[in-house]
Amino acid sequence: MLEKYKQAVTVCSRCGMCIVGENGYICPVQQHSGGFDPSVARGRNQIARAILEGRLKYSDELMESTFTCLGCDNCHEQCGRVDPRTGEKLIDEGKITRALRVDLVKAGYGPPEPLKAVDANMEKVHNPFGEPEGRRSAWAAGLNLPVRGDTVYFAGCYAAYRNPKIARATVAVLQKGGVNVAYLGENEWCCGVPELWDGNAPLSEEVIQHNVEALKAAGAKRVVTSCAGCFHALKSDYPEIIGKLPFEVVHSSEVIADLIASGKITLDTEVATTFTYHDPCHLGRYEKVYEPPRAILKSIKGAKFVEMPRNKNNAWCCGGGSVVAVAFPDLARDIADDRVQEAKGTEAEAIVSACPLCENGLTQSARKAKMEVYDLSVVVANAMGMHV
Amino acid sequence: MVTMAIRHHHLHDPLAAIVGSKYVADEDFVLETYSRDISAFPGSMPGIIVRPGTTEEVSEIVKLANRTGYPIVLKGGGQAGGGVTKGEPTRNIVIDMGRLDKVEVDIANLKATCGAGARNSRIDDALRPYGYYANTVIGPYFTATIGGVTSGIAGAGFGKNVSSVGCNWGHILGLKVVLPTGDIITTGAGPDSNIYRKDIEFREVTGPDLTSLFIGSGGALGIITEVAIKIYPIPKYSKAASYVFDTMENIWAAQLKMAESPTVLYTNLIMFEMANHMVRAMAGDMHGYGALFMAVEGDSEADVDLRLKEIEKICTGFGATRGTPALNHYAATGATGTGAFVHDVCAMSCPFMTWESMSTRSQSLEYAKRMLDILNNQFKEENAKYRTSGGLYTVPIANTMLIGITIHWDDTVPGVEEHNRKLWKAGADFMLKNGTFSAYAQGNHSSSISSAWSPTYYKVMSGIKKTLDPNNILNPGLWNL
Repeated sequence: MLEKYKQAVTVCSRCGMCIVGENGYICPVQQHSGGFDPSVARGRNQIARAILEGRLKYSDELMESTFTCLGCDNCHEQCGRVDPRTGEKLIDEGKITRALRVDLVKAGYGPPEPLKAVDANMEKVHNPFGEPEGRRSAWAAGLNLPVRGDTVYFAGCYAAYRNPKIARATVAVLQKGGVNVAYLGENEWCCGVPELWDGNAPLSEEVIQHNVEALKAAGAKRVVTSCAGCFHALKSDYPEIIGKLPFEVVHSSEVIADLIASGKITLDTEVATTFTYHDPCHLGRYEKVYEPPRAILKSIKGAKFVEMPRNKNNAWCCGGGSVVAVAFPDLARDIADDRVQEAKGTEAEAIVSACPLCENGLTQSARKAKMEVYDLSVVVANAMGMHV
Repeated sequence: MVTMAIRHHHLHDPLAAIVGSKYVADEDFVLETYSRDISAFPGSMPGIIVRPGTTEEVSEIVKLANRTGYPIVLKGGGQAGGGVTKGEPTRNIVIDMGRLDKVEVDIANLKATCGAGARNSRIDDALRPYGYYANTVIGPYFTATIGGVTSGIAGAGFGKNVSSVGCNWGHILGLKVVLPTGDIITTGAGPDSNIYRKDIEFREVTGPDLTSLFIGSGGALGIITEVAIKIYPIPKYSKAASYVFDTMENIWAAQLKMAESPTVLYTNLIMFEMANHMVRAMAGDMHGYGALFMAVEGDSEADVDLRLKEIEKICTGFGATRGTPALNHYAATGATGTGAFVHDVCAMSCPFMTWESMSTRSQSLEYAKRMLDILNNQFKEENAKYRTSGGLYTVPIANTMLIGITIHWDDTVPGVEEHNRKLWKAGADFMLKNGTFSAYAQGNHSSSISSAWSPTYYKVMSGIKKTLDPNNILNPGLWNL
């Protein structure tokens, strides 16, 4: 698979723009590991080039190093290497890292043990946690959501199994705004993000095929996700892997911002809290959705919004990306601590994110720092006077 | 898959005892990433990499190297284009200076004390909240380190006002240096050189200017671990201008005229040919030979405007027309080297090799034409075959003209690196004989530059090297020493 990126790794000029940028250090892993060049894009590109040129062989140590990448895309964001004719960036580091992982696994190296368990769960019950399939739709009990409809809510595994408040809040807000929401129930499988990142290409394709078929069968014209990871996977990875989709994919923050702008919902229950917003990498850098979540937070009655120094395209990752939270939980925690400390340095009392994975990763660190972390959908529901 | 016990380099554990095992690496894939710089020069595979966090750790590593006979080679930001220092391939201990990145700000004494691994942009990041800046480097502002620039570039590099006040050496108050024996010395009358001093405050009041010995030495005589630099208030007004000229003669005349003005007209002044891909992209419908970019800064807007007026008078006097807004934007950010724009330009300019040298004002135009002749005519067919191109840039500095040509190429063309090395050598030979080759104090560049040393100069330098580094442990081979 790496062969596909031969030109990209060859044109990497080893300049080091993937280490420091306008907002300081760029790579959270470089800052929380030994800091050697393999943790940053220029190093990984050199490694990939050496492998493709037959100068380097795969090893367990290389596998471990490659799997620490968060896929946060900050290096890609900062890299100025573009095709001068088109302006297109030439080096997509996230894809190169994924390809390297696929080839490592194919060669018999990895994935790290915790991810093997994730894959086994996925094969068996179609979620990374190993939870019974039958429990996936427990959060929707009593909501009587149809299984078919123009707009299908794709809850994702974190909201379904770990933080059902997010799913309930999203659906409640959308319904209040007049959006009829359908839900696949147990026919929704994990979006495939863990497999896209853990080197298990065949399993990711199987999952993607299933979800697309299920969404087609449900008559979906628009799929709404409240998870940034699911959103990017469905919106960008799916079509790249299996071709054009017959439905549109949007993030709940985009829909909610539209509902507010069109006056269909108002956030008029006073919430006297100062919020800051953590941009999930897969929503921000990958899909360039920066303004809708901010517009929502700014429209809450009584609330105040402040930015962290590193925001939007320069945002620091929560530490949980690309299955690092599963494979290297200590590393993920250290990086989450950074982010929470950055939030703590503002006058914010609470961090809001628009991704259950980010919320989960930041919560433990925030507890130590005596800060609150909320998902955007839950904040919106509260600001509409709904308690989910 | 068969998992085998990891067999470490036999310096792994002793180095880990100094810096912690987290900061020592000897795996093949890590070594690979430290084997080359951004140039087409051949690499040199390290034996082991270590990332110390303090000057004392660097000192201990150097002592270990002396005891065991393993040579040391240094790595800063990795942005250099002079070829990595060869040392002894597969035996070198490569010290990655990146962890020495602290910046201490002393506003009262107009000083910043910077770890050698601090990226230049990070120094300004630390100073900006106080309203100050430091002269470090234009161009690889985000990627190069202050230690790399001080040690690895002639005159300690070219800062944002190089064409108005000269190279960075004059901004440096003193250095903390680990000598090749592991001893620590602080130049600038610091605590390790003057028994009564507690800090670096003045440039060389203890004796001969030892600071200058280490500037541009490439680490052959010592490892710079800290750089104390002067800081300056950020000017209240900063404006920029660009002008496009029809001929090389006119753009040259305008630069020389502006450089001799008794009033310093600009903070920085840079010339690029219009053929330069980034200038071309910004120039829109404008055509001509080249463009001048200047940043003008001051504490009075009237003063800045007056100087811009004088610049315009000189430029239009030589037939120039004002640049596009995009060209002006580059002047505002690129000429001072601190904008995000420069960040992208650097990435797009790499990989590169450079011919960078100083020529006297009077000979500079002819000198530049001959360099362009080597690039454009002597290797015309090969350049086309290997998709190699280059662009001329100039910066007037005091009584000289810095003349550079960056050589770019398409790395995907087989054989291109060999061609580039041949091309580079032709230009380097010309520069050595006709100008003063001024670029990187590293690898292939240092070997080339030192090939022009007179027997007396070589004797002095090798005597200093032998005195300071009796075991030839630091960057062996650098400067052919």
